[in-house]
Amino acid sequence: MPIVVNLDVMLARRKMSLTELSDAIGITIANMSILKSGKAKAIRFSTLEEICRVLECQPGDLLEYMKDADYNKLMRQ
Amino acid sequence: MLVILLFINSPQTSTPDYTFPEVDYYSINDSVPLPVYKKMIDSMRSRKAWEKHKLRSSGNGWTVLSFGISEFPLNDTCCDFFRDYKSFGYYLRLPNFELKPGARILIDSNKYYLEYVAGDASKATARLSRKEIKNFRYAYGYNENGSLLIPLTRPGLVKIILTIIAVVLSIIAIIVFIARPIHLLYRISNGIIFTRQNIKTMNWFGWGLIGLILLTPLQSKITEWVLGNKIPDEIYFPFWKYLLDHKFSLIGGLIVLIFANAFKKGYSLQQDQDLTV
Repeated sequence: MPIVVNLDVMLARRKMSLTELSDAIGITIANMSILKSGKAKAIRFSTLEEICRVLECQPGDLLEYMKDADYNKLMRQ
Repeated sequence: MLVILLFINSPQTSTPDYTFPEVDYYSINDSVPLPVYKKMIDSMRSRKAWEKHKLRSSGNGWTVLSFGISEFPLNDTCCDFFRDYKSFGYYLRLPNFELKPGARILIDSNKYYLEYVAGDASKATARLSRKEIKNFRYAYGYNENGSLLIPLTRPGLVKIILTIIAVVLSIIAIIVFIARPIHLLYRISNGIIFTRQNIKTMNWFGWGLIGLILLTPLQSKITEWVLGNKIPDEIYFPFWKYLLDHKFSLIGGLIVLIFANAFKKGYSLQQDQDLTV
């Protein structure tokens, strides 16, 4: 699925670690890792809402659509 | 293992139709018209002669799945009281081969002959058709479902090959039909249900069961291909009848495969659930 989660970019901008984010929104670090690594198959609106609230951003800042070729290239890296 | 093999080699429901009408002196009614009486007596004599000359092929032997080696007295017919027990014949036994209607194998002085109906035996006029006899280089055993028996000059070598095949197949069978299913049940009882390993186990079991059933027709096809035109047209492998006789095993295999597909769907849903954040 060529939807990329730019969570790491937003965390870097906000100078926040994944553990701090997971503590702030009440989601386990394991699930946050799934989301960050791009293995997630779906994301709940409630989770998205919490992340956007803590990181003070829009859903569009976190999610990005990529062409298949670009996405596969990214995943291979 | 035994249960599985018994299940697969379950008793056959149908018997081959190469017998003559069951007629005996005592069963002939006095009031039967003379032409009918003569016909019945002829039938009875024919049957007795037939019984005398058909090969029972009962003796020692062992089998790997469906084929094996048989060892029995060369003149092992029902009424041969002067049977030579010292000279044994070794044969590669290929079960489930049948004779076409009207055909039969006879023994005379350790030589085999094929008696068959000239023309189309399936037509209504087959009874009036001419019967012909030709030499038959193999033998045919009339026990169980009927077996094509190919004489072996070096039974020891074939025995070694069959033993190797038997060992390999037994190991595979133990893994596929016993070890992995037990492991599957253990995992399910521990709540590990929708996993790739479970799906794989069920697929192996289902396809293994179907493959085991289809092994005999495959083996008969290979035999026909290897021996070429040495097997006369009157002896054939009844593929559809064989499948019908083993329908429950086939259905069992298909049911397991259906379960495997259901588990695959379950695994996919489980993945969706687990990877939703």
